Amino acid sequence: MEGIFPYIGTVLIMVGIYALFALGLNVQWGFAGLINIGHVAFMAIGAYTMAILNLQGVPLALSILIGLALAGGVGALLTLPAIRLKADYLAILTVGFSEIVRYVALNEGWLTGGAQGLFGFDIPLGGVVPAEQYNLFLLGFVWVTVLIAFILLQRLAKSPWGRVLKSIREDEDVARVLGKNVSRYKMQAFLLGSVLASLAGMMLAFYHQYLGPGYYYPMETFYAWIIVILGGSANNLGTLLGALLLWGFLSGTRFLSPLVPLSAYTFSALRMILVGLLLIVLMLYRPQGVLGKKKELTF
Amino acid sequence: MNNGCDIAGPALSVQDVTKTFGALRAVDSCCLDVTAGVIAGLIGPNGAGKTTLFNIMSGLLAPDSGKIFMNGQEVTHLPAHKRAGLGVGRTFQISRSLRKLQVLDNLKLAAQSQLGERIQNVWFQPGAVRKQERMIEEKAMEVLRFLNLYELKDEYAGNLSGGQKKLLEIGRMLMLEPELILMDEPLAGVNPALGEEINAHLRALKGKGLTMLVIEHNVKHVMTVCDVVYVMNQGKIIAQGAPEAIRNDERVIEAYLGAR
Repeated sequence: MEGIFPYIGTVLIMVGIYALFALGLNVQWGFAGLINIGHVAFMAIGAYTMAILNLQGVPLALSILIGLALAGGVGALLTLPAIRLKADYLAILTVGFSEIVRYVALNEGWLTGGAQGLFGFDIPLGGVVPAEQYNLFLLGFVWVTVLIAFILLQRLAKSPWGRVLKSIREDEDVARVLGKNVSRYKMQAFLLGSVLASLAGMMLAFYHQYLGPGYYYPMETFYAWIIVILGGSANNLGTLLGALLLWGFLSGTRFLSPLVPLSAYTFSALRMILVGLLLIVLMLYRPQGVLGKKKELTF
Repeated sequence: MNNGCDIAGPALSVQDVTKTFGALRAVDSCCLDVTAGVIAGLIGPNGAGKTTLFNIMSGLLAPDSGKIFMNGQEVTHLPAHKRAGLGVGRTFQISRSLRKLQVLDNLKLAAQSQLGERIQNVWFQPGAVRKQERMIEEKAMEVLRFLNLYELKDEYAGNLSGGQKKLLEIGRMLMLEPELILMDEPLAGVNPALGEEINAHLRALKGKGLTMLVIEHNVKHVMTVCDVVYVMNQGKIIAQGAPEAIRNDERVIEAYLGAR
């Protein structure tokens, strides 16, 4: 990859990874109405599990599977205490949980490498694909994964399962008296979303060939929220579009840096301010997002 | 004192149920039996505890004490969604149609034992799921025609009028195919003509052998539709009997109009 392509390729890898990440949140928030402000925790759990196991000599494929299973399992378990509570408490619980995960990663150096993080773990087909072609391979790998996840989620969205999730989003009691086991559906939504987040976390680790606690700040969760809201809640295609729009904006404006008389650091902060402004304008004029349905708007 | 409990096997039996919220005894040692195949009315002034009792019967609230039986089976600790599986349907006082779902989806949601409500079936048996979904859809269309809501099938339920929402809730009950329906004020806020229509639907359901317990304020409707009436006040069942007898009962008049 030469010239401008490496940059566009890199951006598209990030778009794919964050699309995967946000698709997970869309199952939880978009369809089931569950507020998860700790989505990044599952990114971390998946990536760390994969890397730690692999560095201990466990084959990469098995490490990946265990990482996905662990993240999904923890996600499902996290809904247990929340079942007895109102929805808002799930938000507090998840944000607390994600910070706990980050601090554990930062401080339990014997396991996680602490602030230095982990490197040296295997990457998929790492010995087969030449290093200079690896990003191109990863680009394909990420997007094939996104495509598979998208198709599977679309099927669910249009199925009776998706219908039950939408009914829970609106009125749990109605779903209950119509015979739907609401707790089971919430658990499934969390499990699915967490598996997708952990998959995204692993992809990010493969891309950097490194992982560290610095990747898992709450800001990452809010990227997922911005993507889902921007594209339109409960719309999987909208989520893909949202990821493209967010990364397109963040990466595109990077070129404007020389034109603006600000330090690079100030300019990057300014870009986030602009993203915030963009969201405010969107909420005013198109609260359902680019592809969302206004009549299905939850708030 | 005979508080109304009886040992026979009615469709619904509430035995000595109490529910308190702090110092308030919302439901106070309530006993109530609904014989299979009748329309029973539950009346009482505002705050009498009718809706709380309904929430306990449908499993949305747990009672402090007492027992609930449905078709002879104890359901006191059974979660709400499992009661639906036993054939218990329930509608809400303020229509809780799912406003952000289309009318047709509101009905399809209520069908029981759907294959497509399990992830593995959606992914690995799409054919079977589609086939069942078509059957459910046909049935939903039938129900919509019966309720004169067919033209509104693609409308979001939030755009329906108050009366149409009530009809939609009845439609959901028809999809659920319950044996016992708990209806919380099916006629509240409904114009008289539609009220008549809803009453006719209730009688038709009774003709199919369903049992109903209906909360109602409109005395005229209670008198024309119900076979038996329970009167609730301050958490207790204070009278029960045929509508005519209830109308002239001193305790009932006192509960509604105050002591003379």
